[in-house]
Amino acid sequence: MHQHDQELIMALAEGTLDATAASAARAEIETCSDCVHDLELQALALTALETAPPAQLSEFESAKLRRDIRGEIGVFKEEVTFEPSKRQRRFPIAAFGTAAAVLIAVVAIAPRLSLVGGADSADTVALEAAESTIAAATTAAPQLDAAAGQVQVGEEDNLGTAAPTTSPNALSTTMAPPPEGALERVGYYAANPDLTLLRSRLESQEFDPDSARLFALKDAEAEIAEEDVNTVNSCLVVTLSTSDEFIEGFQFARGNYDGREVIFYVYLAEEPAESAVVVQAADNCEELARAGP
Amino acid sequence: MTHRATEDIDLIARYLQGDMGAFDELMAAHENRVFGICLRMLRDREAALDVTQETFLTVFRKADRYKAQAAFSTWLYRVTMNACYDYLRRTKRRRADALPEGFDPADPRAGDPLESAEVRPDIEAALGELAEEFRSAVVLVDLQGLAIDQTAEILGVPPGTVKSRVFRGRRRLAELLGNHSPPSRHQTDVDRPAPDSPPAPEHPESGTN
Repeated sequence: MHQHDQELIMALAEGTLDATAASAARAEIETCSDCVHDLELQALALTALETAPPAQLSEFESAKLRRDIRGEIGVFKEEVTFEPSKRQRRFPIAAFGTAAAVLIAVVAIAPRLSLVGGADSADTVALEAAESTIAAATTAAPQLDAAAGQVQVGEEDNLGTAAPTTSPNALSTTMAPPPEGALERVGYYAANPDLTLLRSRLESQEFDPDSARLFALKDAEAEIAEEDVNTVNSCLVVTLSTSDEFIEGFQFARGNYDGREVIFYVYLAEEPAESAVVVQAADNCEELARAGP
Repeated sequence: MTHRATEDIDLIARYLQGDMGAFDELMAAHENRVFGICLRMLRDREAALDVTQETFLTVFRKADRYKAQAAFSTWLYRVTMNACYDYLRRTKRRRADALPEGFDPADPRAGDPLESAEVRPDIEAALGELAEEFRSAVVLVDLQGLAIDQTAEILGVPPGTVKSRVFRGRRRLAELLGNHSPPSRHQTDVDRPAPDSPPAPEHPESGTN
């Protein structure tokens, strides 16, 4: 086949010829059975290619990519301003797989934190405030007590309920129901997380990120997150995008701590021992408590 | 020169002067496209992420060598393609499910290629079956929407060669999608060269402009 035949067939298949030229091209091509066959195949391929799903980085992949590149080329000596788009403010769903493992590891424990539904107060954190306090968010904070004597580790069907404790950091004890759908999908929902216990679970790797149950939870949470354009996730996004240590993050719950509205985060590192659980203020991402490095 | 190209040149200059915002702007403008090329070429998300990172590292480390003789995106995508080829060469990966060359199992619904394509719409798998030289042309032109001339610059071949590769790549793609046995004249010129041996002229040095 001549080059001009190929170009003519391509142009006809692509629809780039005007009506007159297309008509003439079609007439010419119809005199050649191979050309007609090729035109069919070109059109078929183009149609199929249009259906190819978009190849896009997730927001988490994008943040990690940029962070890794910055680390490699060492361009940024000062704090990076991170300005997530509306889409980027969504929780990085890619993190759910591993993070959900942490959720499963946590069961009813001493209520040093009490949790309230996250979606209802999702707009309480201004992204700008989060950005302005990145430095504060990375400041070391006091460790939380273990309250180990009150820890109950329940099985899936045996979730314990610990008695409230009192401390300067004692929190309200009103529990909100878990996100709609979570219970139905996975059978249980963790509440009243104990940071130290969670930390110990991270270290001992008492979770299996590949378990089928995790994926069930992942699906449930992902659906919730998809519908939740949630500015409270900005703490997580900012922390992940400016941290060299953590590869994934997980907004576990919202609650109150020392009279402040807080967000409870789990940050996972490559090594479980490097992972941390952190309480960050909902209004400015300030780190208030941490269990982990 | 397009607005994007002008903006890229400005961003590179700002980046070289230490403007940190330029880094993010360049990444935001190009990371998805680079990743898209890598993913289509490598068909492995993790590998595509690694090669995307490798590409940007090369570009940012050698940004001072960019002379704006070609559009930044052309340079970037050339580095991307070379990084993909390097990766494929390093790994010598062949998919376990690849069909033997020239073999298409019979499909009773394969009489009409259009109808068959609806039955077997696995465009990603079909793309993976294409020899690299055809896949790269189809990915850049048809999936990334690049012009023939820019693709020719990226691949380091004449525009006519790009057109021919796109034509033949699409034809082979359609045959794979439709499980449609090509006429004998097609078989010989489409299935070569072997997937892991891209022709040397297509590989301009990484990081040069």
